Order: sequence, then C-alpha cells, then structure tokens
Amino acid sequence: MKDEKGTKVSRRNFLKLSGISAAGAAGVLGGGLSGVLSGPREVFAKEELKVGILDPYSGPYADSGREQTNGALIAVDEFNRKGGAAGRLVTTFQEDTATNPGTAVQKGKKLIDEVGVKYIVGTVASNVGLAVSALCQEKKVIYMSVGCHSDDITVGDKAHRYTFRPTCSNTMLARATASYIAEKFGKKWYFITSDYSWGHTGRDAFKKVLAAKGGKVVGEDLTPLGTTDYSSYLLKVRNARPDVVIVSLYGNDLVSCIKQFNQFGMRKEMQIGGPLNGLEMARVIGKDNNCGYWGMPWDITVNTKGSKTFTANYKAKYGKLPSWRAFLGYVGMQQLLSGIDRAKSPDPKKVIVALEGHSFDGLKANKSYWRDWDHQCIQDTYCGRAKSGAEVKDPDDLFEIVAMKKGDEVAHTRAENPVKLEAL
Amino acid sequence: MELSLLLSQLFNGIATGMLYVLMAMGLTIIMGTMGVVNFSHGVLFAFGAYFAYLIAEKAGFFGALLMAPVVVGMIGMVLERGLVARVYGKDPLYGLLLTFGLAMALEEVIRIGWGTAGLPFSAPGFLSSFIDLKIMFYPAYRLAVLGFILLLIAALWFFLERTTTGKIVRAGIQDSVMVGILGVNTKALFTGVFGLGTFLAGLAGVLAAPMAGIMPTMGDNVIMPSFIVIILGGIGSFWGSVTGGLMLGIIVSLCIQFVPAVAELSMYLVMALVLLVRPRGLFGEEGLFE
Repeated sequence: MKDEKGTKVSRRNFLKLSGISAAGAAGVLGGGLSGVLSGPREVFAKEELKVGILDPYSGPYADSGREQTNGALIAVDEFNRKGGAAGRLVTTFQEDTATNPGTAVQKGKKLIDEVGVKYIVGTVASNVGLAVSALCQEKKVIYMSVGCHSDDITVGDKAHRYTFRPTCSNTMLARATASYIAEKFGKKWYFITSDYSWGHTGRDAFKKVLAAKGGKVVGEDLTPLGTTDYSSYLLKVRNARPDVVIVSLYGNDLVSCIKQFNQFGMRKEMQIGGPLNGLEMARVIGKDNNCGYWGMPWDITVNTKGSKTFTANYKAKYGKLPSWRAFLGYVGMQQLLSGIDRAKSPDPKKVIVALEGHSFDGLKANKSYWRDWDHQCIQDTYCGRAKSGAEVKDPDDLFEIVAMKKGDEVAHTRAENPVKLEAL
Repeated sequence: MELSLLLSQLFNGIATGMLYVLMAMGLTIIMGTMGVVNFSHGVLFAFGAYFAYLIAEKAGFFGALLMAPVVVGMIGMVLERGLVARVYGKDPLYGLLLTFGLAMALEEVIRIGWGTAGLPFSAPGFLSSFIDLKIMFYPAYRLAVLGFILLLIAALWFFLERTTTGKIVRAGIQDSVMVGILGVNTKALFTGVFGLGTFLAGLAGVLAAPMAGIMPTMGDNVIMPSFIVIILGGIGSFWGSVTGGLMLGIIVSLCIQFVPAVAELSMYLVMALVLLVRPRGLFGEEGLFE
C-alpha cells in the first residue's frame, strides 16, 4: 500500500510540475484541473523518462532514506523545469527497501520488470546496495548507489559496470578522518563496529590508517544492526582505557551509542569518532550530547556557490536544511540525468559512456569526477567536528569541517583496487 | 580480568534487566488472565516514549512519567474493549494475528504522527550526572530507574497480594472462568488487567526513552527479550518475571564481556534450554506448555 502511495505522490508531483510549466508556457494559470491532469500527461506519456528510486523509508535508516529521496527530487525538479533530460520529462517511482537486501531486490525487480525503469537511484545500507548492484548489472540497468559507503561497491569483484557511486568510499572517509584523529588525540583505539559490510570496511579502513601511523588496537566489538543498549560494550571500552573509541555505527545505532557514551561520562575520558555522522542523527542526539570527529561527504557549511544554491532550494522546498544524505541524493540524480542529457539518449550503455571520466561541479571547492575504471566519484572528502552546548547557535548548526582532503589523495589507487569492470 | 569489571557488568546486567522485568510483568498478567499473546506490547512501549515527549514539553519529565503511562493504559483499555475482547476463548492464533497486525498498524500511526526520524529526549538535569559506585562510575539516571522499578515491583506485589482487587486479578490468572462463576464481573476485570499491562509497557517506554532515544521501531528491540523473559520465568508468574528479567540482563551483559560473538544469541539459547528441561518455566504452573 505504501508503495502505491509513493508512486502516486511522485506522479502527482510530476503532473503538478508539468502542469505548471504547461500553464506557464500558455500564459494561463487558471487552466483548470482537467487541463493539468490530462493535457500534458498525454503529450509526454510516450516520452517520459522513468527513474526508480529505492530508499529505506522504514527500519533503522528510514530518515536517511527520506533525505536522499528529497535531495534526488530537487534534481528532478531542476531538469523538468527546463524540459527534462534528453528532451524527456522525468517521472520517478519510489519504493521502500526497508533496509533489507531481499526486499530491495524484490522491489528493484518490480521497478525494472513491471514499471520498465532503466535507471535506479538510491539505497543507504551497503549490504542492500550490493544486492541492488548485482541485480542492476544482470538487468543492464544503471544504478546510482547514492548512499552506500562500503568499499565493496567500487572495490574488488563486487564492483560493476552499471553501478556508479556518487559518495565517498569508507577508505576515503577514513583517510580524511583517521589521520586527523590519530595526530590530535592519540593512537590507542578501541573499535565498536556494526556487524555488516559497511561497518567492517569502515573499521578496516581506520585500522589501516592507524597501523600506518604506528598506533595500537586495544580492543574491539561487533554489535548487531539495531542494537539499542551499548552500556555493556561501553563498560568494556572504559576498562581498556583507549585514547579514542572508533564507532562504525550509523542511524539509530549511532544515536543510542553516543547518547550512552555521554551518560556514562566517558566524554571526559576519551575522544570518539568514526567514518560517518550527519545532521539527521546529530539532531536526535541533541546538542548537549553531540561530540566527536567524523567523516562527512558534505556539509551545509561547505562554502561554494553550488552548495549555497542547493541548500537554498532544499530549504525552500522542504522547510529545513539538507543533510549530506540529501546532497548525495541530489548529486546522484543530477549526474544520472545530465549523463542522459549528454548522451542525448535514454540508452543506458550510451549514458555509461557519457558518465565515465566526466568531470563536474560537485558543489565542492575542487571539481568532482567519475573515475572510468571503478566508477568511484572522486571528490573532496571532509572530517567534521560535532559541535555541542553553547557553541550551537541554531538547531542545524551542529558540525564544523576541520579537515579536507582532495579525492585523489584519499581514494584507492589502481594498485590498491584489483577491480575489473565488465565489458559493455 | 579485573574483579571490578566483572562486578560492573553484573550490576549493569541487573539494571538493564529491570526494564525487561517491567515489560514482562505487563505481558505476563495479560497472557495469564486472558490467554492473549499481546504482540502490540512493544509498540505500546514506544507510545509511552512518544507521549512522554509530548507531555514533557509542557509538564517536564516527571509530569510525563506520571501521565504518559496512564494515557497508554487508557489506549490499551480501548483496544481491549474494541478489538482484543472479540478473540477471547477462540484459538490463540486469532489473538496472535490480531495483536501482531495491531502492532504494525500502530507503528505506522507513530510514523504518520511524529515522522520516521527519531526524537531527542533527555533525562532531567540533576539525573544526568554519574555516581561513584567504587567499582565504576554509573549514570545517575540508570540508578534512579533501577530504584524506581524496585519500588514499583514492591507496590505491585502489595497490590496483588494484599488488596481484594489484586486477589481477584491473581485468581483470574489461575482460572478466569471460575472467577466469573463466583460472580466477579470478568468483563471489567479483563479490561482492567489489559489496562494495567499496557500501563506497565508505557511506563517502561518513558523510562527507556532518555537512554536510547525515541524512534518508531524502539518497541521491536524489546518485545522479543520480553517474551523470552516470561518463557524463562513461567507465564503468569510474578516472581518468574522478576527472575527471568534479571537473568536475561545478566546473561547478555556477561556474554558481551566474555563471548561477544554469542551475545545476541545467548538469550535464545537459554530460552531453548529452559524449554527443553522445564517447559513451564522456572516458576510457571504446569499445564500451559506441558
């Protein structure tokens, strides 16, 4: 039921939008409901560009999923306002992955086989993203793996020709963040890791940086996805007396862990950090408990013209500031549609060629580009400090970027990544 | 291995187990009296937290602690009158399906009403410090929750053992048909018991909210452990719930310390063991499972 509703909503948005543009062109705003509903729809019915959006709207990452979709819809608006991509208006079809690989594949098949989409944009959890990636390679459908940070998406034998990753890999995040933490706070680290693909590669990337700096792992624990009580783990951490506890948790798990880290008074005893944190979690953690140093693919404080425009557009549409999840949704969809535009064709093969090696304004200080041999988007990567207490000036003023690395400095080199993408 | 760490984990296990005790008590009196396995108990736990969030804005944490569970208890009574009462005496599967569906529907109500994102919620300022227990520093809030639940258990025990209404409830758990034959209005009794059970779920939700945050799925993570607690302790048994909850808390805590790989699995292993050796649970009455 939710799915049907999601589809209807997106269709309604599409209609509203095409209605507005049609009315604008005719110079008549009071065209009436029937004109809005039937006129433009029939004209564009054959020409519409169908894009599937697969994001979690339920489960532990629901909030992140919603943000990614919201960001993607900003890009859809931009293209539809100027007549679509490759001359076709864009219609989106949204499905809920429920943060479950099985559900995601089932919904993906529905989008591909029944709706007939040639492109899928989205997902948050990397295990879900890997499953969708395999499906899309098999079905020859382009997949923008919007929010998956596990290295596997673009590294090694699970990377695919039809899959592109708009965000940073865990290794990029770790290299930008871990070296900063190690130099500033010490080299005895304890690891708390979410027990699945993303958590594991996040931990491993931090460990590599730590080893290169001659640091020491003083303990580690794996926690099941969806854990709400970390007290027993935190007692172990405190007993091991590390300089830093590296927390590869995300979503509700990260919220619970940081809250309890504060409640046990451990903030005075050690530093905390990890591969990811962001606005949608920091808002729930609350300004008094907000702390630590984290990898961030983007932040509202990135001071570029593109970022400011995106932030303003997002605020205008949704009434709140975008998290970096929204940024990723935007970039993923924007890049897909501009690829279609450049290819002048909806044919996924031509779009892949148009994307590979393409360099673009990714709203950051340095240009971003798609590496042709692994489909990783190479881009500036940030380490953010979570602000707390009196230094928080407004409810969204929760992070400050303390370090930035250029994409090529932190991404896997060709020697480090044995990937061999399939032939087209 | 330091002794202080072992003691810390034991103590922490007891403190976290207390919340399970509260959840299990509500479940077990409902199951014992009406024979309904209430799967919506977890989402009512979440409701407790969400109402606490609403009420705390106006009346502070303690206002929320007083009022939110009462609201949840009243919702429980409405659900019982309107829906759950219809499946009494039928195949237990009906009750199971009904409350399972109810749980999913109510979780969607939370998403529609409060959104999919979590909500920030903190303990009152004077409880946000920590207390030196010699073996470790422990959050004052968790200590307060531990003490509060202990008092509540004593009050519940007094109610069930020493008051006439309490005796009727206990008699209902033993044999509700006979209680009816003796002239007690079982309809009102059942509604009251369901209200009390859901009140306890709501109360557990309020108490848990400052520890882990408020989110729509927060009930999912406590419902399974709560069922395991009553299977360990025995359905309908007061002291069974207490013992089972504490056992569960301690076992999970110690497993995280010594064999973290089986921490998640440990509670199911213990449940399987109890079901094999003593299907009625540690303090359970013969008959339900054997």
